[in-house]
Amino acid sequence: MIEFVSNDPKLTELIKGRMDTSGLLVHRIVDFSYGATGENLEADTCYTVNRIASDRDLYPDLLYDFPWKEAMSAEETVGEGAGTPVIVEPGIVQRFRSYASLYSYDRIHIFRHTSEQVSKEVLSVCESIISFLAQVPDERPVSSSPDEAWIERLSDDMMLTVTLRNRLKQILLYAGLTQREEAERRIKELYHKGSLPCGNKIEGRRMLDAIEQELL
Amino acid sequence: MQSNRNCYKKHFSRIYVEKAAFDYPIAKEILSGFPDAIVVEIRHYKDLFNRPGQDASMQRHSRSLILAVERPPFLYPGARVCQDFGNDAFYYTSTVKNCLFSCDYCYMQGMYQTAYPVIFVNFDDYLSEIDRMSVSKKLYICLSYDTDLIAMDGLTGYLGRWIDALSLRPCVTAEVRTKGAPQFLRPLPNVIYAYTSSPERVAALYEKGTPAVSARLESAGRAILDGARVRLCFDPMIYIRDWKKAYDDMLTQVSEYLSFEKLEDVSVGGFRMPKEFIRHLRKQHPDSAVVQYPFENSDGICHYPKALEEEMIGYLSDALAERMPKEKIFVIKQEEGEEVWNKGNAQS
Repeated sequence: MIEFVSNDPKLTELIKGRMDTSGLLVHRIVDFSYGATGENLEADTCYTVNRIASDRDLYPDLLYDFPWKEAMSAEETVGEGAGTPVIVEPGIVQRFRSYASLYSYDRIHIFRHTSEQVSKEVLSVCESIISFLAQVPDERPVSSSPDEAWIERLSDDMMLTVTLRNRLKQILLYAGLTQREEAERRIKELYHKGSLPCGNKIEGRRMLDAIEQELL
Repeated sequence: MQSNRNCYKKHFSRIYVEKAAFDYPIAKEILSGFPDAIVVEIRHYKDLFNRPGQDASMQRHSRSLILAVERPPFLYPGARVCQDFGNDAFYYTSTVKNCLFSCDYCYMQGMYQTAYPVIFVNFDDYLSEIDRMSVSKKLYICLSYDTDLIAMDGLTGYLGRWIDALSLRPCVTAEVRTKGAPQFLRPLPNVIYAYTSSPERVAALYEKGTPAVSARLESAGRAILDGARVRLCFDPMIYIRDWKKAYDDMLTQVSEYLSFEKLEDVSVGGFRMPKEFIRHLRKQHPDSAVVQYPFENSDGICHYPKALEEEMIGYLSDALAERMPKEKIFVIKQEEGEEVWNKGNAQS
């Protein structure tokens, strides 16, 4: 999902109405505002923020080949080097920090447009931003861990303590990565032979050791 | 909607530079190699490097570079989990942090929040520290500790700088460890080039972006013929099914490229990593068996069960002892919560 926020509620609603971003799997935040002012900024231009001046500067991770120019952002005039675009925006630090508490830095996208009103150009830029991000592949590492409910049932049948449950879970996760079908088959065999469920905790502990030996 | 894998910026199309670093010739040289890069001035590299909540796995699609000025100290005592090869004054130094390879089990991925490498451009400060300390100690320094110096050499040029510096400092011994396969390494009597070798199956599964083991061994063999001191590191040993056969095949492969007797020495080590690093690695690589192994934990260090570790280390050490003198085999393993390293500890 792309959460689109802007400094104009009407713009936000318009974009949300035009583009369905709810089905996208990677959660991102797009913070778009128009009417940006500052230093060394061009008229009617969209900028993506690459740095936010603070007591400890803040940096979104700009991994994507955006076609828009870059600028830093600051809460007040900073007098940066000649030509460096700076967007002056009180409150940007807190805003960014709040995003960073929810999203990783590569999923925080801050755009500022210097146009003073919502024009066709501004709408077009917003749509381009959403379209671009919608194409970014979902490359989050995916866990293929065994079914939690199954592990819970097995742990109950083995009468394991919390620590040993975690150990069993790790063993099954590892076994699943190296020999998934065999791990499941062997556990089923234990039930079939009557070795599971266990009669008491001591038996359960022995069974855990046996499973570990068997699967590792 | 179709996804677009070409959406990422090229690697190092963005370079973050500490304000103080701009004045250093090394920084200017590096920047000149990336004329189209967006250069962003930063105050301190840790503002970027240490940000919590970074997604290093995503950053690997489009790495940025960081140029910084390191502050003292420039040398650190070697970690207890690392092999000192019998040297008392064992230190390491980090002129670069992070690596371009992406091994699933690398401690750097557990230790660092980011995939962005940092290059410290005040190289001469490191040399000054080494000169100061080497007055009273015979230093043994690992240069490739928090990085793979040879893998990073295309960006930094630091291998050549270090070798030139060491040629003028014969009392300092240095190790350069790598998973790379360089074409040529300049031999020096006080420099040991250490190649990390694994079974091909381990490398294929878990050592992403690295040259094939055969290429590394070919490079090692060439270095030996050129007169370089070469070490092979079988560290960490990685458990896989049929590990014995895998390591047997690896030793056979080594023999195809070099003579064991011509090696400086070898090191053998079991897998060991701080618990916090393992937690971080598991999050980054949920589907990688090597970090999802149910390790045991001794005093905060995760490792294979003692019996397995001893079996693995013993097996490889014995196999090596059939090929080279025992006193050239350095072993490190966990023993009752303490790292123990022995020279020539092969069981027979």
